[in-house]
Amino acid sequence: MSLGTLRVKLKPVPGLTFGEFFQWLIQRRRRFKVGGDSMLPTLAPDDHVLVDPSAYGTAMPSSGDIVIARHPYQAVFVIKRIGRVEDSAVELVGDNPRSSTDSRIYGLIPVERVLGRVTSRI
Amino acid sequence: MLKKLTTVLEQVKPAETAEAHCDGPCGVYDPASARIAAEAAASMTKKIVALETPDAGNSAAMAAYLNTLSRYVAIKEEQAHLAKEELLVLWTDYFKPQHLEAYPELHNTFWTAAKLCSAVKVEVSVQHAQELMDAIKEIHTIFWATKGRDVTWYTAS
Repeated sequence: MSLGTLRVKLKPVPGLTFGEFFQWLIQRRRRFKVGGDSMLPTLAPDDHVLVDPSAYGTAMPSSGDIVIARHPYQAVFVIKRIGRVEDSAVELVGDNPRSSTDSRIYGLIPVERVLGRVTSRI
Repeated sequence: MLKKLTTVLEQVKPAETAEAHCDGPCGVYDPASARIAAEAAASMTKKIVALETPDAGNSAAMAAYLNTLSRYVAIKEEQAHLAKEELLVLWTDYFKPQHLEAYPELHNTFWTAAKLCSAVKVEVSVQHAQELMDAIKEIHTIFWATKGRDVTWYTAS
């Protein structure tokens, strides 16, 4: 098992669309602020993103998705990209691995800890 | 326009933060934590050596003796191991290649100190406990020199 080498294309996060804005207005999106530079160049510190908390109600996260997840040991949220996906666990990796604490350190995380998918950047 | 929107939103209802950095590197290091653990292990070593054996016939005194001895040994084991952990954190997290250039003896000093932690843990050696304290004092001197600060070495006991 090797962790930490992201073998997925670093897809950018789409900008805000009217549809997304509407979803946010009807509270189908949660807004988060990025704290730190582990997601550079895709997301910069203090970028705001919208997150779809119902994205993984039935479907599993896909490799390449950017997600918000609960840190495995701390009471904080993290924003990372999904690397590998296993039966009920996912690998979280920063787009900027040199400045990221992720599954290379804390291993795969249970999929229940994934809060939702980042759908757009404001 | 969108930046304006986020600015306004932040004032009305600040967004939750999703962390995207490295955990940890708070940059707070101090050889004092290793010194305190090593000092505790040294203190236990001295107490074990000084402990008087009771009469074999006096079962109450023997029970008390064994209890005290076990506690001293347990604390010595724990603190010697803690001292080693603290040293390894300093060695591997704080010290950088440029420090090694300035202090070529750095690796050997840490290796010796870590070995002494093991010796203090395994043995009941006042001499090795003292040598460990000396090694940590050396690390203290190098550590504060790399920070350009003159911090006086002291011990709690």
